[in-house]
Amino acid sequence: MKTTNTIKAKINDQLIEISGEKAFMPLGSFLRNEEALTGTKIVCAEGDCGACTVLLAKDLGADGKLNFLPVNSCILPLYLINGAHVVTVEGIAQSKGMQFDLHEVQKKMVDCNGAQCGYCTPGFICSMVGAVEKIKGSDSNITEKKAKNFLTGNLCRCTGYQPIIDAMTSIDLNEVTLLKDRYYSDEWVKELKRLKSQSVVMNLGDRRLLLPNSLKEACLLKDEDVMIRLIGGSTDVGVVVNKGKLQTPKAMSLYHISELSRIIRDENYLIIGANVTLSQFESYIEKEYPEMAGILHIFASPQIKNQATLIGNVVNASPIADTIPFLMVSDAIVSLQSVKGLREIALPQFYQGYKKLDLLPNEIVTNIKIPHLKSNEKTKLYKVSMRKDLDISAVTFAARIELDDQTKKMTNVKLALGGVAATVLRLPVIESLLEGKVFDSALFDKAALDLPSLISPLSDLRASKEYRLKVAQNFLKKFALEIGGSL
Amino acid sequence: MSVGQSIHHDSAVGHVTGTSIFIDDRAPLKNEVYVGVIGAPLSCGQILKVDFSEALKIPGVIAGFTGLDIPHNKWGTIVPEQPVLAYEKVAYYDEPVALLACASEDIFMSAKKLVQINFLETPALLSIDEAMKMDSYLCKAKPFVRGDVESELKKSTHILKGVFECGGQEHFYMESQATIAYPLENGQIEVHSSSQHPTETQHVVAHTLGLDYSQVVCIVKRMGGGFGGKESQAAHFAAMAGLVAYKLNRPARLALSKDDDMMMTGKRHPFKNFYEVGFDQDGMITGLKVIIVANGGAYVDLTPSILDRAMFHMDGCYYLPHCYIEGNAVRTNQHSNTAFRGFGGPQGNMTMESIIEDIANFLKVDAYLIRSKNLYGINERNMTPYNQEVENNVLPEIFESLYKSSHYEVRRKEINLYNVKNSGKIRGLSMTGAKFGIAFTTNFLNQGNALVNVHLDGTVQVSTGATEMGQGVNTKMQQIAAGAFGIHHKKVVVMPTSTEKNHNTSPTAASSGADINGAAVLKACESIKATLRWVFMNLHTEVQYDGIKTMPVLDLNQDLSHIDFINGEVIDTKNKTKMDFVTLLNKAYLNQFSLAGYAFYKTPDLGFDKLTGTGRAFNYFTNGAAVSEVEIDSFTGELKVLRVDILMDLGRPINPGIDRGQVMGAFTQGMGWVTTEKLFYHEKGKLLTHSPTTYKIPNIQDTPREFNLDFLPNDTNTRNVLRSKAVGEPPLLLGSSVWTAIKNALSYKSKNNLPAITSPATNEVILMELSSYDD
Repeated sequence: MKTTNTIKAKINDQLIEISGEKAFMPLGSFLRNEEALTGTKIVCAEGDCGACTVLLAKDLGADGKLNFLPVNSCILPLYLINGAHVVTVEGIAQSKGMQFDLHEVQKKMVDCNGAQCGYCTPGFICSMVGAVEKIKGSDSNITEKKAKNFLTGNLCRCTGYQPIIDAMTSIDLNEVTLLKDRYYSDEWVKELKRLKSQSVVMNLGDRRLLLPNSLKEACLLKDEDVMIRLIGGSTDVGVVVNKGKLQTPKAMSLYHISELSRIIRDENYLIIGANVTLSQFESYIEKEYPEMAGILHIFASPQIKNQATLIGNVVNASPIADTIPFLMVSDAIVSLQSVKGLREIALPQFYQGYKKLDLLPNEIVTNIKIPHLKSNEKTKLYKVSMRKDLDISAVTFAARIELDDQTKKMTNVKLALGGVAATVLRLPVIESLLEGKVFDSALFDKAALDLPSLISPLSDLRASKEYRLKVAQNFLKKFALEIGGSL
Repeated sequence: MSVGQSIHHDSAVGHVTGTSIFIDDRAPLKNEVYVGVIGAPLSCGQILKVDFSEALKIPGVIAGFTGLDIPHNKWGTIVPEQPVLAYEKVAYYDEPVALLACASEDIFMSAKKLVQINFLETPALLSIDEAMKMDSYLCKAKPFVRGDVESELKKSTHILKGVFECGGQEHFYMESQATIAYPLENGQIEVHSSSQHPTETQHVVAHTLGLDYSQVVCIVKRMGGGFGGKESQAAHFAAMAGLVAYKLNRPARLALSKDDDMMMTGKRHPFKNFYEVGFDQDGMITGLKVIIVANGGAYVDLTPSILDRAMFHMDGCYYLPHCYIEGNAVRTNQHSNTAFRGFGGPQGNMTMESIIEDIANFLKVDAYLIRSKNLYGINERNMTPYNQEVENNVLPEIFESLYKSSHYEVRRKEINLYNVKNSGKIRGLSMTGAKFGIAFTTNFLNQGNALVNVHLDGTVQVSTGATEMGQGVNTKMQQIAAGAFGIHHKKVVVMPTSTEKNHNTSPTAASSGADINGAAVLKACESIKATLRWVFMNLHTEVQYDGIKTMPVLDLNQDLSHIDFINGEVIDTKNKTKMDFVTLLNKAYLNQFSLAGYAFYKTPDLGFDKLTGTGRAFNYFTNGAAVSEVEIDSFTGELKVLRVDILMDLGRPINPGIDRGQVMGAFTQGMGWVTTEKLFYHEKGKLLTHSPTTYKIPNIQDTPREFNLDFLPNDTNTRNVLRSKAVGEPPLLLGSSVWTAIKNALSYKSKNNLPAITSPATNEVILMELSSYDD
């Protein structure tokens, strides 16, 4: 087993090597404080504003080149960039000393007055470059809709966004030199593969940092030291650490374990590995589960989705997590691995209370399995939040139902609500009220009337309990109208 | 000649390459310290003791300071009553009470938990209602009175009574408050600050430390956004950094985290306005009585001026034959509310637009009819409640023109049909206007100065008191100077704002940055040009000047206006002679003439009398209108803005591209204020929405699906520099058209009720109002 005790990565043209506690440092702070790359700004330090956006290539694309994706550097600890190539705003123009040869994206931002105060601009530039890295070469151009979708994770307080949209839609893709071509080198790709094939073990007094390269090694480590915390994309932990509310003295990431980076489709299940990001999940299920892909479109930014994992969202177990209601009504199964072997558990049983899981201290969540959709099954997912995009939900709703086209009989009714109790809830009382009945909107009106006795929403900064209840009731009614064909 | 052209922002290339330097991007000096600010864990009470001893045990924690360490612990723009660090009296939750000087931010994060604060808590006032009940008033303004509103209301065919309530708003400038204080020699301090008001920052730092003003220089290169939040409230943070620098004789850096910034700094004032409006069957307003109550928060700050501006804008765009407008501000135990783009204007204007919407709903007619009827007239019905004439009134033209260009009438019919269908969606349409008064209503602030240095290669450095916060004031200064000298704009560089070059300046605020500083720049350029014209004329006499023969004494009394500066040349249009600009500069220099210009400008002819509440408060008005169409999801109350059309009167814009960005940005910010930007406090008064996760400013997906903007050509504004008009704040007022459009949408379902919503109209506000119609 090859093991090393340093983190190596490339930042723009520079190779960096990090050892010791510095490996826990967020990339954004490292860029600003250690590398004097102050173009990257830290505003919210919680992955919500995008000012800290940089481009990160952890993997190779289908073309064998570096796959640069925008991520939030403020919540990305350095240990998660081992073997990666980072390009910051400083690495986008071709520069010679104080002279710049601007990238096409930068030229258009200048021409369209896309920058006013300039503080969000470096983050926007990185997201825009990330977009053209993805779009160029595909046969599409940049529409206004696409421009907005790629820039959901960047806040600007000055422009009202229109000048930025103008800049994005006026980009001439023929004028773009892709970063993956500019920064490509055979040696670096070889090095990148080599680095990711190794295990990294840093034992730093009472702190530990572990990047095992096999599941077996991961299970052994977790078994010998249950205080080790597993980190997915760090999009939640990174925030809590930044705000001084948590420390992660012992951290382990599974991302050197390539078998956990796959989505596998077998006869019965779609199996999602622990390293699969929300972006990867989103594009994989686009056709099969358009409703879930739709939720993924709005629930997080490209930056977050490029970092965060589906399993991270599941294990974080928030009552308002946006993927859980879908998984709940899909009868998803969680796979738990330890030195003792594999344990599988249905998702509703996995959640025992507020952030309380049926997960043993030595267990690692490796996969989540989603049973395939039957042909007459319908899924509907709704969410509501203060702002439509990139906002934490007040209420979420999921329904999966078999509806006979002819008889209109409803079977296998599964309903879930989030944001109305300590965990995401299935609604067995209402499910059985509907189960086996012929569709009738009056049944749903009755269900809505029954709802207040079944849930206990809270009042907080996002919404009052009255509003949450009203919306939950309305979601039932909306669902009835939608499957009944009146909407 | 670049004036009137959309040249790009002078920092655009720096911004897109990440090379523009903001405060916290400055490379740290070897012995520099990080200044962490600790907030009070209570809303109201007294600090008994701050114990740093545990924190000081941590390696890298250098020193702790409280209000007791400050030589003069009182500041305030209007009333010096606010402590830099509170001690004897804590007035709001998270008010700065202690500083920790540390080797790094990380060290501060772990050390601050170890600082022990003992305090005594007393009951707090946390809302307008509570403060009114306890008679806790911060200030009251003399009412604007015209005619006899009481008897007019009695005579009116219809009367509506109501309350308009709007929330506060966080500035959410991307760059949080930041400042670095460098100790120099002889007790001097150089402060770099993200401040809209370098002069006040200089004064507050000096006063706090007991230094002379001349010992402190404040430099502002740029801000990562200001929006009013750095007008008064940058100063005390600079003073905190100054204190640490002064006490330790080490450079001190203070850069707040977004959370601390949002918790510690003031916001837009929430208002609660009680009104009574009379109108006839046609919707003509006969009289309006309004009692304004603003939530000033803990300290006076700029509240009296903000209250004034709310009163000045209570009329909106509409003539009020009889009116009584009374202004009050309450003192509460919340962050001290402060300037925010619009400065009270939006709260006044929106109250009026809400009233108009109610009148329309009451009479069951389209609100546009009510608006067009009540608009200020051109030759009559054109006096404001404070008796200033609305000169060169373009409001009727704007409203009519936008009504047509936005296809209001057709879309209204479409919406009427759409809302009959049961689609789960309801649409609404509304037009609102803005007539924003341009000038500081505190008259003495209407002054500015500029320094222009012309170099021998024909390039120019311009310095003014204006600060660049993204709004493009530097670019406009560049264009004005380049235009004056007839040179390419790239030959002009606008220098960092510094109190050693431009002193006694006013804040870059009230949309006036380009107006007063631009006028000063133009004057300074003209003074240099006067010298150059004279040198040019006298060089063309027979005499050759050399080391022995010198030119005669400069005489500026000759009329040399026939000498023009065009395209890098100086041209005598009468005698058809010309000279290269650079050649003339060198001749002037060799003949010992100054190539620097310093000028002072004050806005003329202002005269508002606070005692009578009448007079010329404003130099002119910037006008505009917007039509917004919205769609509400009747299951959730979610809002979509389908289309926005704006028509703005910006006179003759100096830079239409920059102004377009100002209009769209301001509109979007206004839209955020009235829709998703909700401040939420814990019952003890702590702000809980203190980061973008919980406080939602508009995202790129919230922009209108269709967004059209036009400028009304208007050549009449001779009262301002190059006939331009100020742009920063006025379009923010138009964001309220989204809110009135929501009201309009609700009116389709409200049966015989008048839709009654507060601002911001969050999904929850909308849905709860909508569901109240079911009962």
